[in-house]
This record gives sequence, structure tokens and C-alpha cells, in this order.
Amino acid sequence: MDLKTLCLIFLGLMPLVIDDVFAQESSELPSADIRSQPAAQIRSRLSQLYDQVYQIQIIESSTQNKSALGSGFQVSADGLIITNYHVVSVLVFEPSHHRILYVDQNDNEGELELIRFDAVNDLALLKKTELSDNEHFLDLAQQQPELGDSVYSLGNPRNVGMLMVSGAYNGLSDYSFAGRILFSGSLNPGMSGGPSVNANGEVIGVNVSTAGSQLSFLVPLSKVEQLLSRASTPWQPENYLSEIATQVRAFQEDYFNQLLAPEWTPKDLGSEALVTGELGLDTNCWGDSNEDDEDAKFRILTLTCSNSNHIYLDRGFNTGVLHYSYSYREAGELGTIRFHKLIDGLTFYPDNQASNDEVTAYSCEQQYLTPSPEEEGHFIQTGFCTRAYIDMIGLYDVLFYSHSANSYRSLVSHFTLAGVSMETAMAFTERFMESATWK
Amino acid sequence: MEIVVEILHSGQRDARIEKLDTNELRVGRAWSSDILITDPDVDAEHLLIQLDEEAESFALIDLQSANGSRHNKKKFEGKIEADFGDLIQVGQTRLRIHRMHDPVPATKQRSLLDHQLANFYRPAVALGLGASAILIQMLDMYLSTSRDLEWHTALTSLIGMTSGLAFFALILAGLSKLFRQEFVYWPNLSLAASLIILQKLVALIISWISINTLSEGLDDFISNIARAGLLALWLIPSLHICTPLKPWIRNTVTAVLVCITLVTSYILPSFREDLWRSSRPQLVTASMPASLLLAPSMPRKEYLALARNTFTEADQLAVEAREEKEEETPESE
Repeated sequence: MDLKTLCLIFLGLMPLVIDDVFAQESSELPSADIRSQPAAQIRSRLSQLYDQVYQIQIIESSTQNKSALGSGFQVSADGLIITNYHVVSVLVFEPSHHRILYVDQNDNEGELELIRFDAVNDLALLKKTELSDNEHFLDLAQQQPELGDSVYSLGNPRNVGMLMVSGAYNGLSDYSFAGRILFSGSLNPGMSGGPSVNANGEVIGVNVSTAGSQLSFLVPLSKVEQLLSRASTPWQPENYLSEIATQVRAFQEDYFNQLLAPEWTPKDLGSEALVTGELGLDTNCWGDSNEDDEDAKFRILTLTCSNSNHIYLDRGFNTGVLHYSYSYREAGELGTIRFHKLIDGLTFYPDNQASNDEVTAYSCEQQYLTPSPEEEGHFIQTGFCTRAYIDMIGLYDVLFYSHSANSYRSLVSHFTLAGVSMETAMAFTERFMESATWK
Repeated sequence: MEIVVEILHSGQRDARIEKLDTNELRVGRAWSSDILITDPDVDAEHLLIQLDEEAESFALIDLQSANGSRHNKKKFEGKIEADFGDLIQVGQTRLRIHRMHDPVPATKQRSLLDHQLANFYRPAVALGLGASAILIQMLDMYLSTSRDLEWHTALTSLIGMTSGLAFFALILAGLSKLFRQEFVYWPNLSLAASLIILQKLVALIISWISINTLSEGLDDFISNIARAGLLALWLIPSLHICTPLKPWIRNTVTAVLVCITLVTSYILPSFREDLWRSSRPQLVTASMPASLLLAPSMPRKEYLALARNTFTEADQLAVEAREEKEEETPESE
């Protein structure tokens, strides 16, 4: 299965649980692949980085307690600090109830303000409100690491203290449209927003998420540079949420333009139906059937596809997911009545999380369609539901299914889209409806 | 003077006849009573029947009984005048006083419908209906599975259904006792079986309706009402049978419990908007008969235009939600 889809765990928001795993964390850094640099030299260089890495705390105003924790690092002498968007998302959603603090290695605290964020790439830019005489900051790497180069991730996992995790650079993930570096090291909750550096101590990416043991993701440096380049231009979003809407819309438009541009190649499902498989980009499909079940009285073949765009917006609220699936069923020994009982009452659910404070209820339209020539003799039932994002005007989640069946066979095609505009949704729907048919 | 006291004890029509020579008759549970009634709701000295000299009329005097007395279904206290043939009730026992030579009122001839209704009570009919309910359940189970029906699954279902029917019938028996109707088992089984058959049919119709109207919350509505109803069904007879409370207390408690059940399971949730605004849309694929019987079809283009309207609807909902939020936090920036 798609590990990233299933196990995407955001690092900043986990409960403070001390895990024995961290006791094994070693300061011994692998030195074999670092060109001609003795381990001790690297170690001493990297140990100096701790001063520029902070714990980022989001403080809830009324209780004065932490409501989120993460890591961050300073990138300029004027006090600019980079962290993840998901570390500060509670503040973005409720700015009047939260403030941001940094805590350094020596337990000195200071206030931070939110300068800018990039929800799609999961980055946020913060700034110290008061500067000291001697501000330390990390340098950004001038060139990308090469495959296999050692990378060191810094951060404060689960509030146990600042530490360093080593692993290898594995290039950009194929299954990420937004662009994520694959890092074979163990990022842990709380390290979110911390820097990942090369052997010279220069930043090559920002810790962002993990998909389990030794498989983690970093935001590439290019996205950080984009955010920094915009830091100097004035920015006064009406409110943060409409700014998120603008960012998600722009990203999704680009994404779906690329998804819809090529012809979709028809693919066989159960030798009688034609459907569409992987659509390129970051889409991934999985097949299943009951062919090996000897007791089965009917036949079922399924194809389930999804992308890996999971844009985190806030706790329990994410978007960007595209999920589509097809299931072909054949009555076999069941007979018409039992077959129709079987395919009757299938229900469909959204694939992204959102609460009633964030999205409206679904508005639905369910109808029977006139069969096309290929579908002659089948009844076709179609449902289409839309829910709007309450504070992110112009963004919608869409849920669709179509069911084409006669007395002995049935084809259900279904998709969900999260965080799209109406035009994108309708363009996708039209194309999708054409993509599933009988031979 | 010769009179007859007809006792209709809890609906069992075996009348007890008393010939009497005194002017006063004591009705109660005491051994000294002229008319001894062993109903637990009757006091030791409950009612006094006072006949006049010519035996043309008589008066009823309630002896400040705990549960009261009724004349022609109306509760009374103290002394009232009554006529022969009037219905008198003490506790749960009903009486009529007749003059010896008055004719017994002729009963109406039974119509064919009456005969059929009477047959409804017969064991054979009740068992037949019960068996049909079980068969419908088994058929439903067979149709709903895509595998072979295994004997132990079938047996479990059979036992479950049978005990369910018996339980239902017992509940109805308790209910019928509460409403002072005849306490007979067979019609209750008939009724229970009929209700189950009816429920299966209604469920089918509702599934068709909900497929075609997509009315959000309809399922919740029905299941909540059903839950409240079932709880009430269970509460009323159990309170009635198991508690030594006075009838008015029992009835009040039952009424309060039914109200609480209804309020908590249906009325309160309907005020909690989030339960209605389900995050799961009720999109359900329909069966062939539903599609053929109930739905006209439309071309794809027309459908896409309709689908566009859902965005407008969702926008409207979002506007309402934003207005609501603003009302909730007027001081926010």
C-alpha cells in the first residue's frame, strides 16, 4: 500500500510521550560517505548548529499553555525563522487566541510573529520581535546534495531536548506533486520545522513528515527560498484563511491542469468494462479481486486509485486528496434478485477530514441517466455531492459515483475531490464520467 | 327484592350471581363484605350500594377508597345516584347491578368481518402469521447474502426471530393489560407477527423513497422514533407488571419516561445541528426495481447542469454558516 498516504503523520502535534527509542539516539555520525572529512570534524561543526535551532511553542492565550510544539531555525541576522505551517496552524485558524514563542538551547524564550506562510508546501516564516546583539543563523546550501549523501535532521522531538538524526538523501519523491525530499532517517513528532543539513551544516530542507520507520520527508530548500524571496514584499492578507484558499486554489489549478491535459488511457476491468488507471503525476492504483475465493458465488474486481496530495490545514482538517475507484461485479451463481440485493445500498464517503465548523453539509443531486449506446440495457444511477469550505470561499469538496448495471453485471465508478474550485470539479467530473464504460 | 350483581372481573366474563335481601351491600376485600372482591386495587371496605325501598333506584357511596370508584367510567367521591345496568368500577373490577326480572340485552349478530376478526385471535392464525414473519426474515436473510446460507446462521436467526416474536407478544400482552383489555396471548402474537411483516414492507418502501429523494436525516428520524417507541413499549408493561405503585403513579412515571425517551433520542438531537449536518452524504445505489419503477432518466448534459447547482446550494449554506459564526462572536476582530 501507499505508505505515505496511509501513515502520513505530522510531527509537530503529537502528545508528549517519552519513548525509549530516543535513548538509543547516538551522536556517532556515519562518516564513510562524507568526502574526505574526518568524523570528528563534522561532529564539531554540526554541534555548533544547535544554537540556531529553536523549539517553537504555540501558546494558547487563556490558559497560557502550549497547544502545539515544533522546531524551527533561524535563517537571517534580522531574526527570520523557518518552521512548518502545520506547527503554527492553530494560530492561523485562531490568531486572537494564540501567540508564538521560541525557546533556545539555554532555555531563553522570546516572542515570534507570523510573517508569512505557505500551506501547500507546509512552511511558515516567523520573525523575532526583539533581536539580541549577536544573532546566529544557519546558511542555506548552495547546491543540492547528491543521492546517498548524509543528511542530519535537527529538532526537539516530543519535548525531550534538541537532538540530531542522521540518514541519507534520496532525492525528490516521485509520488509528491508538491515536491518532497525522501530522507531515510527517523523523524519524530516535535522535529517538524527543524532543519536538515548537509555535512557542512548548510540547510538542504525542512523536516516535515514521516511514513514510518526510517522513511521521512523534507520540504526542499527551493520552497524555503521562494518563501524568503517573498518576505520583503508587503503582505496583508484580508485574513489568513482566505490566504490559504488562494494558495490551495492556485496549487490545485496547476495540478488538475496537468492531470486533465493528456488523454486518459482506457484500461480493462473484468474483460467487460473499461476504466482509467493511473493518471500520472502522483496517482497510484491498487487492484483487488475475489478470484481466489472458492466459496464466492459472484465475481468482483476493484481498482482503487489515489494521489498523495494531503494538504494539512489544521487539526482534523485536510484537503488536496483525489481518490477514485472502480468496482466491477458479475452475478455468477447469485441470480438476479440476490445480485441486486448485493449491489444495492453501496454508500460513499469523503476521503478528507473536515468538521462542521469548517465545511457545510453536502448538497447532493442524484438521478438516473439515459444510457449511451454502449450502455444500452443498463440502468445508470449517478450521484454528485458538493460541500463548500465555510471560511475559504471558492473551495469545495466533491463526491461522485455512477452505477451502471443490468441483471447480471454492474460497474460502480466513484471519486472524491478535496479543495477544488467549481470549474476544476466540473471539468474532472465530465472527463471521469466518460472514462468508465462498457466495451 | 331480588337483584343480581354481575361481576366482570378483569374482563373475564364469568359472572357471579348474588341474591340479596338487605338494603345495603358492602363491596370490598374484607371477609365481612357482601360482595367480596379479591382485586388488589380494592380496599377492605371500598363501596356501599344503598337500595331504596321500592328497589326502583340505588345510590353508590365511595368509602374513601384509596384507588377510588367509577360510575359509568367517571370517577366519583361520596354519594351518587345510579341506575340499574350502569357500569360500576372498583379497583380494576367492573360490576353491573340488574333487577332479577330485567331481560338480558340481546347481543348483536356478528358480521362476516367480526368473524374474521375473531379468527385473527385463533392460535392457528397466530401461528401462521408468526411462521410467515419468520419465513420473511429467512428469505430476507437469504437474499441479502452473497454466500450459501449456513445452517447455524439460519438456526441462530430462526431462534432470534422466534424469541423476538414471543417477547414482542409479551410486551403487547402487558400493554393490553394496562389498557384493561382482554389478556389473551394469541391475538398478541398475531399482532406482533403482523407488525413485523408490516415493518419489513415499510422498510422496503422507505429504502425506495430515501434512494429517490435523498432526504438527509430521514433514516435518523425513523430510527430515533423507532428507538423511542421500542423503549416505551418495553417500559410501560414492565413498570406495570413489576412495580407495586398506585396506577396513577405508574402511569405518570411511564408517561414521563416515554417523554424523556422521545426528547433525548429525537427532539434534542434535532436541535443539535451537527447531528443533522452529517459529514456523510446519503448517497446510496439503488436496486433495479426502484430504478425501473420510480425514476425517469435524463441525458448526461442535463445532469451535469444539475450538478452545478449543488455548488450554489453549498455556497448558500456557507453564507448561512458564516453569518451564524459572526453572530456567535460579535467582538472578534
